[in-house]
Amino acid sequence: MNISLIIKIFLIFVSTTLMRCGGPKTFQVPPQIPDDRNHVPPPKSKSIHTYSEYFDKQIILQIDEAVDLARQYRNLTGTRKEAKNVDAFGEIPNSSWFTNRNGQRKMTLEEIKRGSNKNYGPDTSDVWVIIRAKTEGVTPGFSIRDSRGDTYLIKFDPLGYPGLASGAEVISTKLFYAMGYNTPENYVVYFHPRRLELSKNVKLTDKKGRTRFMNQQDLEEILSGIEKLPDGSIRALASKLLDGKFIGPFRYKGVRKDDLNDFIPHHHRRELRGLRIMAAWLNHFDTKDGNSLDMYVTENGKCYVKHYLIDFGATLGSASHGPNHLWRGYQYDVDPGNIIGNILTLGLYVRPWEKQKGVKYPSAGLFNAELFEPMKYKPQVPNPAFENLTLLDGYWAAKIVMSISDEQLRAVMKEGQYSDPEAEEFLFQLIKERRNKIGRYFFSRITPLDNFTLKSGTDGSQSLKFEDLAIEGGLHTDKETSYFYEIEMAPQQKLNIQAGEFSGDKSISLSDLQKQLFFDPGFGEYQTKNYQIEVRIKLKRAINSDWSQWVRVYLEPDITQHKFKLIGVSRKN
Amino acid sequence: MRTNQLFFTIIFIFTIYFPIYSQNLDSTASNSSQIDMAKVKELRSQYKNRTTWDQIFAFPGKLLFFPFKLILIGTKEAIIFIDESKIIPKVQDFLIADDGSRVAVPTYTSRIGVGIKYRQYRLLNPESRLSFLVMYGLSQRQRYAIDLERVSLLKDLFYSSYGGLYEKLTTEPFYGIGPDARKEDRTNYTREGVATKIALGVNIAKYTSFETLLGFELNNILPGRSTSSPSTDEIYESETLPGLDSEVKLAKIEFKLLYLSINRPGNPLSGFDARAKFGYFQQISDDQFKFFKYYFDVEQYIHLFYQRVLMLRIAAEFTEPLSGKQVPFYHLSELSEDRSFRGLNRGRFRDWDMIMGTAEFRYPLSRSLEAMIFADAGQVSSNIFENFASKNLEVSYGGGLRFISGGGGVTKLEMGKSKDGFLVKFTLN
Repeated sequence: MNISLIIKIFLIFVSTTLMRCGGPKTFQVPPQIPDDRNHVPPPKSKSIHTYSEYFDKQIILQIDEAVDLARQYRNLTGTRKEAKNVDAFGEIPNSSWFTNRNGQRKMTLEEIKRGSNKNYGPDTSDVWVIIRAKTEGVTPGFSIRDSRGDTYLIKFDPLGYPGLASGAEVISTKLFYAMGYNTPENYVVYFHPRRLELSKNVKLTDKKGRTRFMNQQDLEEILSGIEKLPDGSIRALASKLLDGKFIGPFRYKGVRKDDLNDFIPHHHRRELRGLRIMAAWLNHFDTKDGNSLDMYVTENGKCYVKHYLIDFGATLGSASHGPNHLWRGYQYDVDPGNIIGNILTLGLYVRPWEKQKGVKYPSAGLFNAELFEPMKYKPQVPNPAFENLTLLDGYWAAKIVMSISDEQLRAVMKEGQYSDPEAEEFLFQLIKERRNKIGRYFFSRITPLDNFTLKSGTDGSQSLKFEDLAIEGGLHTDKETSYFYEIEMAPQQKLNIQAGEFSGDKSISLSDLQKQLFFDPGFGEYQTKNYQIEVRIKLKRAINSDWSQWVRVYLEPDITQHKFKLIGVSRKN
Repeated sequence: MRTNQLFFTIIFIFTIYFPIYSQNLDSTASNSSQIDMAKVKELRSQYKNRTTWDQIFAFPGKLLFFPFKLILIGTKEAIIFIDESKIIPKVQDFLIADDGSRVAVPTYTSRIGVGIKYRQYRLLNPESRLSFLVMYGLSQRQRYAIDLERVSLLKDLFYSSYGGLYEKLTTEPFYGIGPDARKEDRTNYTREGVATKIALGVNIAKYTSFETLLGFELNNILPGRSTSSPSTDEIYESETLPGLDSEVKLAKIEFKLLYLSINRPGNPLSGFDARAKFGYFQQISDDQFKFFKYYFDVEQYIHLFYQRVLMLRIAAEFTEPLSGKQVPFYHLSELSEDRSFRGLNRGRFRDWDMIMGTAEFRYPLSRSLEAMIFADAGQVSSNIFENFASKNLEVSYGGGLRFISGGGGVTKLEMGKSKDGFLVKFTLN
């Protein structure tokens, strides 16, 4: 191949890239995302093999992505694909995957404490019949049916660590629910072993692969490895069986072909990409496909697949079967980058996480905020949706994380029912600091002006109001913040620019613009044609002298009402 | 139209037209209560993962990876099969008792081959163990051993051990005697031997024990089976190489002092593993061979910081025949036995005396995987005290990987470089 041919190919590549990057001059309102809760026939039930999934994510996926030149080019140029289920304001609609909760409307303390729970857990006053033994996962347990006929999966805390796994699971469940995900009902329960009754024909597959019927000795063996309270009772986590038909876990990549409502590739869904930040916050390192669940449910007269996140026993400082390992959150189980780095440095570089001190409180496990860096967090195995995270996905997730106030967090912590108040306070402070780190990271990279609304006065004059999420989240104050705005007509006709700097009241008056564009005869042509108004705003904090990047808010005129309507927000620069 | 003009036209269409078309997300989906396949296809097409430009640009890498991906997918399916059929738990059930009193582990050494080591713990007393070893390799190399160890006597005052061994090592290398033995002079022989032992030991202090061992061994040297070098008996005579061609029966008595303070077996972080051994060997039914052997071996593990370990080792062995007597050549002190010199072949240097040292640095790479770098140095001589010189030291250096299993077993891949070249050694358990 000669040089001139190579140059021609390169020029075409550059020109096509630039053309595609140029984009329209006006704000393109994305199409409405179709609702995915239509009535569909039930998909087939599927399972995922843990080990093969592990191999797939650790090896095949990593190499596949490494040789994907298009992907690597996007990574290098910082032009990763944005999520495909985003509206004009960067938000996502309610769906079978996600429901906008605390991020859009502050939940009451009662609501956030209750979470997804609909009652008070299994009836502990009567017999629990064991109907199934839990042989999957790393912690022992069994499924029971209580006197009301409800089925619960019972899981226990590791010996020597009271409340470690059960507390972490309940707290994380409620926080993930508050953030918008579908979660099971999880309860901390206390029961006496004499309440347990073994049903006939309960099958057990032991560690050696032998399947047989569970007997009393097996039950006693399980119970012997569990922490007991002074009165002989046991603390456990009771997870209520989800309503609907079990159809197996979902994958973080692609679509489920036999689910006719599934049309957006999962790794391009904002709620799954953004989950990386929420998972990092709560140290949910075990975000593999197997810790998800699709249920075929009936709601509002329609049958469709609802997607759940499950199994939060390995969150915060817990690894379910004991405290977290040192490396959790900092490297994958097989991390080629770290391995190569260690080989080249001959082990002389000690990573900060290796220097962590031991467990301070058994109930809290191994957890810290000092070493936490939101974008460097690594789950146990690579996750294809997480690897597609863009800054805007992260900002969306950070907004939701930051929406959880200290008061709400304290209320949720109480649901963990820790016997050691120092451990509870220790965890609270760490979760709070990690939350704030997420806020500081993303709000310094994406201008955190959000929740734009148009307010009308009695005289019909409008003002554009907004919130500064960093101030709302307590990271900055009004005193140290000033804003600057410009108003321009799109496409980029610098028509009578209105601009100004202000602080305090987060509001921009549009009354002068209304008068000009709707009533001034000199602007008669704008009273009949379509156009957009771009209001761009940036901010500056006292701690640094640089202005942030613009946030662009787009308005469209409603000529009959002589008002503007909000059509979208852009944070792309 | 010229070919390359047509080519660029096609590229232009694919890179301009199709991306614009595919980015047109003008959805016509409605929110009807039930969805049909046509609508599903339409939606999936509109929200599809990759544009045509993406697919073209990604194609070369995908194409290169494709054959490897097939292999990896095959591996994944094999993992699913193994997991579903529960082969591993069933084999473990067969090999390992529920209470851990019975364990069988696979083993491999480059000297013999593959094998299985079976142990029954707590047979006669809590510390006792009965071991069986069966190993087999290429060229009919084999080893079978049975050992009953740490049997308590006189209410735990003493402990005793008993053992028997049969081995046939068919390609044992011999390069000559002395520090000047050349790689090109390699020959090989077969050593077939039977050995038995009875030992009596006593714990004399914390970490310290003393053992007395009585043993018997019978060795036959036969022609070597390797075709890559001549058989030793073709190059040497039994007059010049004592022990060649004759059935040699030896009785031995050994005294061993052991000091073991390592913090954990298999993969220690700190402590000492030291042994000193003095033995006397005498031929039975003949008077040709009578000799002493003195052996010292001290390993120190130093935990430097955060799982980084420095291992220092010094070992020496002295063989001394009684006046007018001889030593079978295979009992001479050897620089590169199994445990010692990496980077040199087995049996590379033999003489009366041997001294060697090792420095090894181990550090973690990830969970269960460690790397190590090492340097070995050593020398053989007819009299090491007179002839030791640093310039005569044989040196090898290199690195490797260590995989630590949950049960504490260690699998090693070591690569050493010496004047003889580059050698790779793999060891399992």
